[in-house]
Amino acid sequence: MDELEEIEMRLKAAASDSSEEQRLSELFQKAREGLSSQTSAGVKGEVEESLGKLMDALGEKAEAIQGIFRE
Amino acid sequence: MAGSIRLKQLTVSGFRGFGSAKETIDLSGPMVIFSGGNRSGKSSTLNAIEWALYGDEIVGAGKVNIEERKGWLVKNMGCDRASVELVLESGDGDIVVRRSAAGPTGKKAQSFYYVDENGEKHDEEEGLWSLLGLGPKDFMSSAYLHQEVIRDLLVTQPSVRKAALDRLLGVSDLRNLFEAFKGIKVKSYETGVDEVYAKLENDISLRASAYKEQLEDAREEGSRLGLEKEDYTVKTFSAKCSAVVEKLASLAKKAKVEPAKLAAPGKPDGFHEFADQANEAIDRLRVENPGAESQRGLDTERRGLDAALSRLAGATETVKEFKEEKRRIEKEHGTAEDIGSTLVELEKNIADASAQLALVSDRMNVVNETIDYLRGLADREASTGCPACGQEIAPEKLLESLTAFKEKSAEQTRELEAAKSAARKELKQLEATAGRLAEILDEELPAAKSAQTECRKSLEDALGRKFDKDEDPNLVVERRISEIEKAIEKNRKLLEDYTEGLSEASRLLDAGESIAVALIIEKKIKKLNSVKKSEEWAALDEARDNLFEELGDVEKVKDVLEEVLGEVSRKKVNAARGQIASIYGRLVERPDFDEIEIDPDKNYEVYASGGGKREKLVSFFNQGDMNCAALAIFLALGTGRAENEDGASFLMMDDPSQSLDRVQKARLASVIDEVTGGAQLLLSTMDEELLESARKAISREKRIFKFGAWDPRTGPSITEE
Repeated sequence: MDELEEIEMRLKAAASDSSEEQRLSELFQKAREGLSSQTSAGVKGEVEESLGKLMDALGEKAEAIQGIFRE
Repeated sequence: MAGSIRLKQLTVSGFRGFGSAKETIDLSGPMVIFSGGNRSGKSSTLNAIEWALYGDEIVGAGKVNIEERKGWLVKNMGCDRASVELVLESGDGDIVVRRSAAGPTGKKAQSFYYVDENGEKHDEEEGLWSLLGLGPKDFMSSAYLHQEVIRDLLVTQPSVRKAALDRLLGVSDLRNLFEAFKGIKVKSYETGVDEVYAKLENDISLRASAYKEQLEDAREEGSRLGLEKEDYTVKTFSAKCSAVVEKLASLAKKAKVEPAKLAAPGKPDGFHEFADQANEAIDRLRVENPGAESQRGLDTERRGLDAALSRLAGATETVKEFKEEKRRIEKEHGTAEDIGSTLVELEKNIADASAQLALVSDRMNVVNETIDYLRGLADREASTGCPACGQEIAPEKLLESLTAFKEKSAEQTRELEAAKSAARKELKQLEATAGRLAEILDEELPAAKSAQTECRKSLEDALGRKFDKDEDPNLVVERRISEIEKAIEKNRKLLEDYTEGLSEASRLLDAGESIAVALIIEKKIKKLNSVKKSEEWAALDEARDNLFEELGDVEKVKDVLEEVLGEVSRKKVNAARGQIASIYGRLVERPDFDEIEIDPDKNYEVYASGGGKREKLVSFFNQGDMNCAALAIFLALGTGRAENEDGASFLMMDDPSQSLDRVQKARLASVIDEVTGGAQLLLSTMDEELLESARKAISREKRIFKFGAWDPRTGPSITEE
């Protein structure tokens, strides 16, 4: 799909380094996987799953600090 | 890819208005028209095509936004199953789609598969939709014109219009992507992060306060135990614990028990385990104190001595009493021997008195006979010879002498009897005294002396030594009791020292605990103060940075999507602008507003323009003009999609002439003929005027099916012209 390829090109251009370029590309690919449901909710679910994991990781780290208090 | 795909043949049974007998309709050709009145089965036939392709996705009002689909029945009530076979024609061969189901809404015993142009069978609906290039919603908006599409394009809220136009423009994927990223609440994630940090800061603050309070309590307790500020060191802590160990070892030695295996901890962390063991040792030593056994022995000995001494005193008193009684008897009556002599004498006296009494009695008998004889004499004055001895006697004189003698003898008899009686009484009393004395001498005094000897022996046994001959047992016992009391006192002092030793060990332990608690809390405070420099905090910051990085990525992707969506939408709208305006212009001849346009930057608002004016179309157009505007947009964008792309190359129009006048219907037929040339068109209408216009205006090959009276049992009556 031309538009999607165009988006990938622009994401590449928007990235400040190769690491960010890879991240943006992966994020977009992940979002595209959610398109099979043909709804924005499906795409949002894919992206938020990743954000949810990062949020969970943050919670785990905070819990680890609470563990220091409990020692 | 199968290239462009068109409808070829439909076979239906048991679906909605269709009966159980199979009905086959040949749909091949560039133009197919269904003509018939209301309730003739036209819509059921279009629905059969929809259902074959999209199944449950087009059933129910919520999924397709068509109110009349609420409670929609899929299966004809008189049939067992609803079955549809749709043959699609592609450049590479036919694609056969088969779907069937039971139950009123088609939810039971569902069956679906399609055989592709290569003869391969598939049961994934998404695969078919991919071949068609149309998902359920795309199909309902951009391939199938019905009244809801017209409403969505012009009347309803902007979001619905935007979604419908996105599908017609072919940018719904882009729109979904953009809306998804736009819908991610970046701010709420940032707030969530802030909350995590704020909670930690709050916890740190609360813990710091709690630690401070605990430290103050520990130091206050330590102060009570005599600890100074400088005592709160590991060195002092270790010294206190070592002192506990030494103290307990010393006490164990005094108690003559094995000392507990204790090792003073080098660090406060190990204090609690040490304290448990030390407390256990203290409890054990408290039970096994050294003076207790000795104290019990001394108490027992003292009680034994007291009792034995009391018994000896009793026995001595008894001996004394018996001796006193003996002395009193002997003083009064002499010894037992003397009493025996006295008794013999008394018995002799009694015997003598008895003999004298017998003699007096015999003499008195003679006297009495003589007196009787004399009194019997006739003449007692005259002398007479004694009958016994023959001597001359004077009776009267003799009688007087004898009477006097008799009285004297009677007096003598009374005296003798009194003496005899007194002797007997004395004899009896003396015999009792003699018996008592014998009892004392023979039984009671020996028994009392024996008891006294026994008591002395008991005392000797209790004391563990023999009394000397002249020794006073009382004095000996008193000396021993005095010794025992001294020993008890000594023991009590020993026990007090021992108990004090245990208390000292406990105090040392308490002091150790106060130091340990204070040192541990100080360590915790130090750790708390440095938590923000810990590895864990660094990991937290890293997790936060990762999240913020991804949120930044989300924002970037969203911006790019918005940018591209806007550009693509504008480009597609601009490309179709001329066609939309052209179709609209041909359908509606309004001199004031001769053109319509869509603004992609304003939620696809549809404007009517003309003569330098530009107004929102819905605000003043009548229903017929609005239908024409919607038809212009649908035909311009829908035919563009159907003609230019791979996939479904057909359009379905259900009753498109509603609210159009006769002239507009004729124009619509002419426009359809012109703009749908490249795509297959399936037109369903109850409008005879439109049908006639189509017959005249549409030049391409037409296949016209007439729908006659519908029968609830057999279904629609369809005949091809």
